[in-house]
Amino acid sequence: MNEPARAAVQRSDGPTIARAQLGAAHDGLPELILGIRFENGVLSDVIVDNDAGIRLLARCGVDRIEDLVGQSWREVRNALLEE
Amino acid sequence: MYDYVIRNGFIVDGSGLPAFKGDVAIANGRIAAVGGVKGPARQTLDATGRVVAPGFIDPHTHFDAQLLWDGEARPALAHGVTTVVPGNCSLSLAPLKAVHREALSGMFRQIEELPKESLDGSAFTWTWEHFDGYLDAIRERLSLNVAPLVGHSVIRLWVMGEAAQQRASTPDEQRAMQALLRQCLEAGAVGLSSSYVDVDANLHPVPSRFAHSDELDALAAVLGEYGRVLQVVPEFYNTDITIARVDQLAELSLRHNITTTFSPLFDSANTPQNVPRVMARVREQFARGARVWPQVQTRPIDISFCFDMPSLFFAGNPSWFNFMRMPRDARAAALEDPAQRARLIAAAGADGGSAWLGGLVIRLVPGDNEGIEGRTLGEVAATRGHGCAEAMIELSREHDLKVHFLAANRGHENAERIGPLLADPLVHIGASDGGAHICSFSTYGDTGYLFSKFVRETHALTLEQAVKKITLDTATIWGLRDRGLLHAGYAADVVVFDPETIDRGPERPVHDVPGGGMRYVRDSVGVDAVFVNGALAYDRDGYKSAHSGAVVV
Amino acid sequence: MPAATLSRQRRFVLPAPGDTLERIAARELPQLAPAAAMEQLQAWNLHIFLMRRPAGLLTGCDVVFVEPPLAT
Repeated sequence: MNEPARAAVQRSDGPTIARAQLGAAHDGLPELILGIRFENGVLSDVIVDNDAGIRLLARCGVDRIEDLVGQSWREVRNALLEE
Repeated sequence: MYDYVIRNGFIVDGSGLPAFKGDVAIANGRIAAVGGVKGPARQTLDATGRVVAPGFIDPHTHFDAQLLWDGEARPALAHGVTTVVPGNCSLSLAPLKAVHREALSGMFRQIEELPKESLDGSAFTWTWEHFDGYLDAIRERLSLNVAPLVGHSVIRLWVMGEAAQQRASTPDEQRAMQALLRQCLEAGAVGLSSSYVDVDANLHPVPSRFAHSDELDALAAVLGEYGRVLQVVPEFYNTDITIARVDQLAELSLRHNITTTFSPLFDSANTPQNVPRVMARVREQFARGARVWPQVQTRPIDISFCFDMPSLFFAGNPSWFNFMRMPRDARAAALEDPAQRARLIAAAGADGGSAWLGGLVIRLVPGDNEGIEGRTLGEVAATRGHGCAEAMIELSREHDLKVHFLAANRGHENAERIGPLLADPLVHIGASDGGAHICSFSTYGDTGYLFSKFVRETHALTLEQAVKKITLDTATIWGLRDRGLLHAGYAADVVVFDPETIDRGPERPVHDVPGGGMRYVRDSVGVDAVFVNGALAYDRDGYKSAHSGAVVV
Repeated sequence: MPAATLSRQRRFVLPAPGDTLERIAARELPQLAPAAAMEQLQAWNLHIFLMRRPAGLLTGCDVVFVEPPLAT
């Protein structure tokens, strides 16, 4: 993980990515399956499509899916907002 | 005199009761007798060692366009499918004003991956605006039965025009939609489809997604008048939302006394609680008297990719992922650099990428002079004397990055979980998506896979249970009269197959879509004969152009 | 058939005509400042940013959760 990514993890608050895996979307493309840990301690899945997943990894400065763990939910939102 | 007698088969009549040995007689498009049949017949088919069953019914397809040039919905008919339900996911080709054709074509192309030419009027003539006109356009060449849904998005588009993708409907507009839906149901629509997830060619939500709950309630009320079905696509990628949709559908079912169904419901090792939680809610709602049928597909989900587009498939390997994230031209240039190729090959592992990449299937090779489509990368690499990573790179270089690779069975793949799910009495086997995603994977052959995987291999279902699931159960859920059973008086939709070999063939690309488009198909295996309304529509010699199909409700 | 009791599930609302996520946030989370309520609602509803362009466009059919996921 690079410095900006580490800094992002350290300043994150609110729900964070607790698990990240590669999945298969029903249209034959890969997708990211993110387990987001919410403020009440519950883990819930959010699926991110291939393109947004690639953007998310770039935003977070990581090149392994598992290195998304610890990132803020805001990074997910912002990756989805990029077009 | 009977038209046909199918003799000496094992009759699996669709009821779920044990198979028995006997004959099936057909006359005037109907089952005339079942059991020991006496009397002459114009033609006889010896079914010794074969199963004789009702024709299979596929409740989730997108054959709306294909039926305009292919009344056999090839290769669905060859798999034993005698009735299809097109018009799913809020999209049908009618009712549609001429001015909206381009807009709807964009939605169809997005979902079905059809080339533009297949919908621009060169493959068929747009002769209709209303639903009955569309049915007239497909009726003459039908060699299988069609129970068509009408799409919520097109109803909205007809009534609201461009505003259908902008805002809520007014009470007047809702009344106009109700009237239009009644017209479609009178013409022969089996129900209404809606979608909470689909997008058009610009990735803008389809019209049905702009409808507020009062609009769907108004349309469901019309379905209640006719006793017809509501199908929706929920946000199947999120368990909490899917459960919310189950609750919405249950309320509509109870309020308007209608059958509802949602598709798809997927299982995945990454989200193991999804199916148990959704099914628990479905059980609660059925216990209240609601009808909310989840559709589950039989086939697993694969991942496909090529070097032409960035793919998360490589996100576990930093060197390869960073290569894939380059702009397309830079990626192509990198592959021409020996040093960069060497770095990638080294990063694939000491085994040359064998463990990581060797099992990938090469699925589309432009030109394919080597005949390698369908073979694994490991096999082709060995033939070429390369490591797997090197072979993948060389193939991509040779074909302008357009070789497609497939990682099989990456979702909905655990047979120990899928089998019992398919056998669940509250699960509706469906969601094949026949005719959609045609450039990404084959949506044909799910019925063959049901028998090969879940009857013969894992024994999750008996033969009789499996047949019932895709015949009588489907006909009952959808209210298709006189279909799904081999009983005297029922429509003579019959499939004769070998229970020891019925299967789906390997996936292969074909280039038979109008406008020069390709699609993936799977040929049928072990299907001997298919009758549709009493006429032989397919046998081992091929399709018969029987034109015996009908629009059914 | 006796009416079965439904188990508790995550609470959600459906948008009313003219609703925006901001209006729903103000209505459902009145105890929070507007910006905080909006952030909270977005965190609970990341699907509002999925499967659509523009991302974050609230459509009439959207499920909007007004609490975090429940323990299962």
